[in-house]
Amino acid sequence: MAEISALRLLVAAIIVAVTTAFLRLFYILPATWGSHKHPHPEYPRTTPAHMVVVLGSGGHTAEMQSIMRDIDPRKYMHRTYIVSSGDDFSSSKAFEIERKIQSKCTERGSTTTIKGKNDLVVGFWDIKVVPRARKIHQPLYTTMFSSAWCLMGCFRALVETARDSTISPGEYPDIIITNGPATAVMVILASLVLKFLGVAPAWSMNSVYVESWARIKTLSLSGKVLLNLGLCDQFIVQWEILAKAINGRSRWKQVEWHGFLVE
Amino acid sequence: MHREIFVTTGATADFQDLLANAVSNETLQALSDLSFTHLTIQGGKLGDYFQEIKPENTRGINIRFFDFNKNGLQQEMKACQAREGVSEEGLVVCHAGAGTILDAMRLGLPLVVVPNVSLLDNHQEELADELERQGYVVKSDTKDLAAAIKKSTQISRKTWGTSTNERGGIAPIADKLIGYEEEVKGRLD
Repeated sequence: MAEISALRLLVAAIIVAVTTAFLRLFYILPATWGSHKHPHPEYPRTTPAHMVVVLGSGGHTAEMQSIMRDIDPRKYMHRTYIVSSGDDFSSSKAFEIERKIQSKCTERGSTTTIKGKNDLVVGFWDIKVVPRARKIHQPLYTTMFSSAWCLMGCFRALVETARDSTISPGEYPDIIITNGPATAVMVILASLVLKFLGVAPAWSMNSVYVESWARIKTLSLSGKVLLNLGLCDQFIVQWEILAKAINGRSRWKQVEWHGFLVE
Repeated sequence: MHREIFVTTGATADFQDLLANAVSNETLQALSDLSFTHLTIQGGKLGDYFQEIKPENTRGINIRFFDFNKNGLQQEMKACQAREGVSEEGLVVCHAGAGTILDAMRLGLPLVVVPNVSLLDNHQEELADELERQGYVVKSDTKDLAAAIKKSTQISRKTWGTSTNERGGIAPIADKLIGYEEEVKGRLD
């Protein structure tokens, strides 16, 4: 008669746990096996949405400003900008983006709402601050710690973003828009962990990554990480030759090309 | 008539070669031949170097040097635009930084791009190559600057971003991902 030893039980438990974790991971990971894996329960959507925009360093933020130009604040009634600590440039750029997209709602007049103030027409916008993933000239061996610290900050920022949602308090944002900075990878990672743990629903926080216009032949480091690990729902490059080069290489890692998104 | 050329060497890395060639006899002669009147240079920390190499004979060209402008370079670039009765269309010479290139192209200015080959990351050079191939800019190395300036004022170039009424950027992509359909806009309005 076979006796059930503690060891066997342990092995069985580990196998079950690993399999469950793997299946869960497979379930929540985006895009790689076909987009729109988790459509929003309401389709087509008619209710306002909550958008998160990750702003990084100077060049990326300037590009984001251009990419965001035609976002309709009447659809995305809550816009949360995630910036790195000590980055006043990006904070002021968040206001610039707001000025641009609010100016297209002519019924509001010409003033721009300040952050944290609700408006009937253009909704609400706010800023969340996360620690830097890596400072310029920071030695490599400390990057691990600062990255981990940044990741913790991203969890906190996303949890607070859900808590402060003016669309529906406690509900996670619908979409995350990012381009190059290292913080972008951290925010997306944090969103996936929240989905993995079941804290956030799988259809929330759809991530869009837009590779920099400056990238013609190779991806940036953030882009490589996100594409190779299949972490974003939508991966966009701005040059056709780059899209062709990547899409020709592997049918598992496909990127999209919609022309130049910068203006 | 006022005709201005603006040379920017970039904010993050010094680009001494570009500065030296921007005020070389050859370049100044070319500028003078093309009836340029003003040369403005953004040179970062190269102020002392500029004082050293500043030419005696500027061939009638007014040279101004400044280090940084924290408000961006819009003002300097706009000075290169053509204005009826005031100025002729000028020229921008820049390192291959994407932001600077976009700024100049948005203003519709002729552009000579000089990649800083001393930088390790060469994706800037690839950008310059592709933009030249598509006819947006003239690419040059530092020593052929005078010839590139001439070429840039002569050839017809492709204009950037012929503005359409369609919504651009990330907006249509985000809307699709979120599940907003076109007609939904009407209902939301």
